Amino acid sequence: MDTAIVPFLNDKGKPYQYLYIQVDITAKKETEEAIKAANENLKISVDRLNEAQKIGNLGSWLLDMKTNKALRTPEFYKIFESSMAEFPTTVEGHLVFYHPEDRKKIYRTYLKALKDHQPYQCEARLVMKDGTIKNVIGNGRCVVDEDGELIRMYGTIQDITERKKTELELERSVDELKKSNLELDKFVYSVSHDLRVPLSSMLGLIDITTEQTPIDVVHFHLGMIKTNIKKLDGFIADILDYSRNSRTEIRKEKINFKDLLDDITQNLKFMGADKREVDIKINISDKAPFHSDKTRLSFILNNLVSNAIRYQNTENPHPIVDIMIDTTESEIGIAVKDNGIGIKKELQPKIFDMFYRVSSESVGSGLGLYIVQEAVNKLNGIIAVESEVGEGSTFTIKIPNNN
Amino acid sequence: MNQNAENLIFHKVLVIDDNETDRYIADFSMHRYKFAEEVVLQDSGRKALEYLLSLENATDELPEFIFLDIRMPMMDGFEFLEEYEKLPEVVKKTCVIMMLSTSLNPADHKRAESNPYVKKFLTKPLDKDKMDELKQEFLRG
Repeated sequence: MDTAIVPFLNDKGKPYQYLYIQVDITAKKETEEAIKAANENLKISVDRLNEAQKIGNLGSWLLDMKTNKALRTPEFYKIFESSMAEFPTTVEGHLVFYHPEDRKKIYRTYLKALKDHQPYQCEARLVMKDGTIKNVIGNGRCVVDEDGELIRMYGTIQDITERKKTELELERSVDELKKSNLELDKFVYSVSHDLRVPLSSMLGLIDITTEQTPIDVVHFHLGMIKTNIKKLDGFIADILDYSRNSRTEIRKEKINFKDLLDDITQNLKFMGADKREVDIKINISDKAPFHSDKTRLSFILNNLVSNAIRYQNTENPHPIVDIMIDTTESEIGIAVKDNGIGIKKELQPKIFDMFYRVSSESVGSGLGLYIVQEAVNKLNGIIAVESEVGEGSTFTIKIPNNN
Repeated sequence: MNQNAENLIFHKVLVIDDNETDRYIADFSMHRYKFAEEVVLQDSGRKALEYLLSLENATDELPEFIFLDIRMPMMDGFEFLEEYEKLPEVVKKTCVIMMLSTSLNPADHKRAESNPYVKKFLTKPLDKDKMDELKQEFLRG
């Protein structure tokens, strides 16, 4: 109940009568409470909306075409890293937020919607004040009155930078996967071919060797079969090295270059043409202990040194292989220098390619230097070659020191 | 039929192969099975092209058959064919090219078959049966 007492005053200002009003305000009370409750509900709804928009990185907006007044949610401003006070009042004005290459597209989409009143969707990039790029997707709807006049536009803008990043990564890994599948296909064909070459050669040799074949020719054929078996064996060893290098984890340990090189050179000394001895000079300057993957280092050195011996210049009476090791706190430098046959300038970029052989005199599988380069890459190093035909070749490697 | 094949023989055959053993086998078996009177061996496409070009004015000396390997360093069989196309007409008219390879790659087969200069795709090793078949097909014709 609401009560009011109204006094009536006489000439002297004294009350002579009172009016007593009593009103039943139950209804009013109820209305007030309902409004209060509705306001609370509204507040909860708005909070929820803002919360949902925050979680979804999605802001929304509404534009009254008659008054040109716009309503935007907090998340909207957050995406644009702007505020209500700062945000441009015109559609044209807010184009500055977009990437210069995307502005035209955004504006065209807006103009088209003004004309055809159709829903639209548009992806674009925003450029933030600090230069970072955000990927956003905008959706818009148009509201028309009964005369077909556009009265309102509303829509959303969502920050999809993370999703976009994932999408790009996914695309990239799909591309990589496609590429590696293709490479695997090629690899399998190449490997099966190179495995079959010595086999079919041996089969051919056996075919042409019969009871009537003179014994010295039979021995000659056996010698050729042996060469092919060695070739096959070497190729299989190379394939294993390839697989080991690409699959095995890098294991770091302190490297003793003297022991490592002694092992390698002892085994390789007499492998050259005519089995003549090659003068192998080792020059180690370890100013700092070097930690790296011993298996890979050994593989790299073994290949470079054996190439240096294999491709020695038979016209040179004194074949030399110079091995220089120089370690510092930050990196290691390896150089393997020979006075062998050398490599033509135009062929130098190709020698690290898979299955590449320089000429029919190349006895290897065409995998050695490819795996060397792969192994150097695994150790985050770089490899380069300098060579002059008839003078010799120098392979240099730099690998960071991981101590 | 086989009896006839025994008596037929090609005059000259060119073998292009980087593999030493395979060149030897080709040479040995072509002589042994009387496939050709003369077998010329070249270990690279480049040298083979030079050889063919040198016979431009001695067409009688041109080989009737060229056995071409596919996988070779520097210039592979297909690269050879590209260069072969530029050779004088008389060379191309005289010679018949056979691909002789270990390749099981269908792409290689397809590529060889679509080349106008390649008559056949043969798989190594080249044995007596294959040579007899070639004789039947090309010498009796």
